[in-house]
Formats: sequence, C-alpha cells, structure tokens
Amino acid sequence: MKYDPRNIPDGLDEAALLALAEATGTPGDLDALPPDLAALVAGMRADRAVLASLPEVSAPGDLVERAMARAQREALHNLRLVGERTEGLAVSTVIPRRPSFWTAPRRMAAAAAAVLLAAVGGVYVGVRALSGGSATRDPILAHNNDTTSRPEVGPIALNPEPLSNDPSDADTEPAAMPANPLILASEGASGARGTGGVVIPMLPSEARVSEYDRALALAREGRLVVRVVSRENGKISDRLAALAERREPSRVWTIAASAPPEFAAALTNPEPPPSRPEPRPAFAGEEWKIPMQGLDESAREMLRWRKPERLEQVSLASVAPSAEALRALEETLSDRLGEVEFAESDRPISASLSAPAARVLSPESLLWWTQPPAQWSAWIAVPVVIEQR
Amino acid sequence: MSPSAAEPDDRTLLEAGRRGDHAALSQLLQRHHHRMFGLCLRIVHDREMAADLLQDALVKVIHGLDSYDGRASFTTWMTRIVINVCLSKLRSEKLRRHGSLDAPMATPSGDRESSLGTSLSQSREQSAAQSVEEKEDREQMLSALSSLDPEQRVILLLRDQRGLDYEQIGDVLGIAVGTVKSRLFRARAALREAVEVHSRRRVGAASSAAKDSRGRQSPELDEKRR
Repeated sequence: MKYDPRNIPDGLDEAALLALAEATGTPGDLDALPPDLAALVAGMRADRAVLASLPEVSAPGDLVERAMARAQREALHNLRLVGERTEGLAVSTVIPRRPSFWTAPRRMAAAAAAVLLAAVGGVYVGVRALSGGSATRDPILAHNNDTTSRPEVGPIALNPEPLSNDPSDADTEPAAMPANPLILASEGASGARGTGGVVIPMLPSEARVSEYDRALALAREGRLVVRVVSRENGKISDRLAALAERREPSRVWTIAASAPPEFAAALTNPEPPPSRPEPRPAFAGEEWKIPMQGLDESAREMLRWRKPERLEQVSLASVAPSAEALRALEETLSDRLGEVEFAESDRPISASLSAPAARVLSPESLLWWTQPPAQWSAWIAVPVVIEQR
Repeated sequence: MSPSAAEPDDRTLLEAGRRGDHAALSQLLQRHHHRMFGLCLRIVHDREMAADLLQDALVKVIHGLDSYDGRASFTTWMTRIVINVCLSKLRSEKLRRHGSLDAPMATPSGDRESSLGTSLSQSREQSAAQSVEEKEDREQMLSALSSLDPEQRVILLLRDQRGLDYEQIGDVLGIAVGTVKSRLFRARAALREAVEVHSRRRVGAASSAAKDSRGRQSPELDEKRR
C-alpha cells in the first residue's frame, strides 16, 4: 500500500497513527481504522520489530586508538602551522616544547643590566673626560685626600668635612708627592732632576693649555690662587654678588660673594714655605725621562703667591676639575672684574670651607643625574683674591 | 553498553579527558564506539567506509570536547556528530544510489570476510531457534532500509535500533518534536512500501525459480513415464 496523507480519516493525524504504530498493540485495536490504513499500521509494527531485532555489529578493534592518534597529529599540525590551538586535547602534554632562553623576565633583566651598564659607563666616561683623562685615582688627590685638600663635590657637596689646616700634613709623606708628569716635567726642567733628552717644541696654544693644566694640578693640590686686579675699585662687591647669584646649569664653576674670614686670613698671612720634597721619578730609567721643556716653560711663568698689598676682597670659587672650567672662570672674571692671574701657593691653602653655593641642597642637586655632566664629578675649591689696582 | 556501578560515568570520563587524561578519554570512546559503528554501518552499508567515517567522527568528538556544553547527553551529542559525518559523506558522494548489502562487514569476532547478508546468516545459524522466515525478514528489511533516503534511514534507526525518544531524536537531528513525529511516520510508511516491494520481488523470484526447477525436472518425468 502506498501511503497518502490524504487518505487519513478525519479525527486522525500522523502523530496519532505513529502512536498506534509504536504501541504494543492489542487485538482489535486497529479495527476502527480503514482496512488499508490498518494494514499499514500493522506492517509498521512488524517493521519496527524487525528493525529492533537487527544484530549488533562490532567496530574494528583499534578504531579508537587510531582516532586518538590522528587527533593528536592534527592538533600538533595545527600548532606547528600557526601556533593556534583548535580544540580539545591538551597537546602541550604530548610534546612539551622547550621554552626559549630569552623568557620575559630574562629579557627584562638583560635590558635593566644594559641600561645600568650604559649609565655607569656614561658616568665613567664623563668623569674621565672632565678630569683630564685621569679617571683613576689621581696621584695628587691620592696624596692629599687623607689629610689635606679634599675636593668638594661641586654644587652638590654633601660632605663638607673640614680639611686640615696644618701645612705639615702635606709634607708627612715626601715619597708620595705628585707623580703627575706635568709637575715632574716642571720640576725636572727647573733643575730638580736631571736634564737631557729630547726637547719638544710647543705651539703657543699648547703652552696656554699647559698653563691651565698646571693650574688644574695646583688646584687639586689646594695650592692654586686666582688673583684678580680690579679695574674699578669699589664696585667689586656688587659685581661679585652678581656673579654669585648666577645659576646656569651649563656653568662649570660657581663663585661665592665672600669667603669666611679665617680663609681670608690664611691667604693674607701666608706661612713660610716648607721645604719641597724630592719628586718621585716618573720612570726608573734615565733613557725614558722626557723633560717636556715646552710645558715647563709655560708652567714656570706661573706666579708665586704672595701677600696682597691692597686687598679688596677674598672669595671662593668652585670649579669643575678640568682645564676648560679654569679657562671659563678666568675669562669671566677677566671680563667682569679685572686682570686675572693664576698664582701658585707654596703650601696647600686652608680649604676647610666649601663654596657657599655648594652647600645649598636643591632638588637639582639631589637629582644629580639631571645636571650637566660637568657637574657630576667632584669640584675643586679655588680661592679668588681681588686686589685694588 | 552502560557503565556499571564500579565504572565512572560518561561525565566523569569526559572531564578527565578534557584535562588530558588519555586513558579516560579512550575508555569513554570505547564505551560507545561499537553502537556508533553499527549506526554508521546501517547508514552507509559499507564496512570500510563506516570505519573511516566513524574515525572522522571520533576525531571531531576529541577536538570538540571543550565545546561540549553538557545540555544534551554525551551519547546524544556523539550520535549527532556521527550522523552528520555520515550524511555529509552520503550527500557528497551520493552513495545512496550505490548502497549495497554486499559490502563487507565484520562479525562480532572481528572477521571481515562476510558481507552484511552473510553475517546475518551466520548470526542466524548460531541460533537454532531462529527460523528461516526471520532471516528472510531481516534481509528483506536491510534491503528495504538501504533503498530509503538517508534521512529517513537515520530517523528509523535512531528510533527503533537506538531506542531514542522523540526529544532525543530532535536533539540529534536539530528538529522539533512535532517534526520528528511527522518525519518518523513518513519514514515508516516509506519503509513499509519498500518492504512490500522487496517482498513482491522475492516472491516473484521464488516463483520463477520454482518454475525453472519444475522445467528442469519435467524431461526426467517424461522419460520415466515413457
């Protein structure tokens, strides 16, 4: 019989016929249906019984294992292709991938180390450049920093420890006197050491540079005095105060309006010069001794400090440890105050005082790295004596 | 094959499988794969193809463990995947026209030599109580089933072989219960018609065979009479 929905009698529908077909069935329960429809439902019941009695079949024994292995391969394939995990398996437990050496914490640590190294290197280079190429312990400072002229730290002086005022301290270690080639050359050329060797001619500019180097060496020993002969008497204080108030980040020197009285007294009443110890030879063999007479000629021109006849005022400058800083100080003082000369004291001047400007703790001084490189290294206190013409 | 009291249920195995426990996942799949294979085999009527399709379906199940939301039972969800894989294959290759009962089929012991029909014969021979008529009814049913549309075949198998109720069938096929009933009744009607066709064909073949047999025997009878 071919089923036709149009043959379903009124009051019945497919759902009702389906219920009859899936019912257990009792004799006579299909009698109410038309004969064709009753035969159809009865046949459906028989078909259902046959379908339910179909035997079970077994799958191949390794089907599940093959499927799992294939799923793993596909997951790994997806990982290798784009690194994206599609679905399902925890593939990372199947083949653990060796992590890269440069993990995030290691990268950060390496970056931090590189920055720190660069910062330290920058400071080192800056200090070395500002100190005239001697980043190692300066022989003069090595000699003096225990008892005598301890240099202050420029505008960020945090350790204004009083320096010794006893000139004998500078002479307690004769063997440790400056081994600076500049000083050795000067002393050697003045007859303290043997002569001979090659004479190296100097250009005038080189001679001037050597004067500043000589002055720098003296300043480090605490024996440099800047002598200023004023052009206009009576206006020195105002101009000096104006210079003291200048606060320029790029400046490599500062100056105080006045120096403490005891400091001025030490300058105006110099004690008799002590006996100079023999300088330490630069090289052991005579054949290696280079007199550098050109340098010596300019250095010999430096004045010996003497008591000023018409003292106007005593001030204290703080200078970066470089010849350029001394040159800048000289040029400014020469422009604003008068004629400037560098003078050499026979003994370290009492340097127990720091420049007043250096004692001011400002935010800029605390944040030292924000300052120009010239202000990173220890500055040197240099007395400035102003005389009337 | 339902889990015994000592065995973990599907959900427990599923959660363990999600956490990467391969043994649990294997146990879960082993628990259901025979019935799923039977469903595949009855849909495509080819043992090798059924094995390949079930493997595809199992891979999809494994990859889709994380996406299973638990709203339907795991069996229903897995059955849906298996049926979708099989129907997609049939639609793409139009195997419906080529379905054959002669495709090789494994016996429960794992042999692959017998076809579906011979397997049924062996099964029948193992049980002496089964009559020849029952055997012929099953063969006839399988032949009729293979001539139906795959969708009708599926809904009949789900209802009468797998024993799913209307709601479960609706979950598997993604249709409403009313639609399930309507399609199921029409599938039964189509099956009934196909069974009758096969029955008439078998009766016709049997009568013609009887005629041939009588024809071969008649010369001998004539000679005896003479």
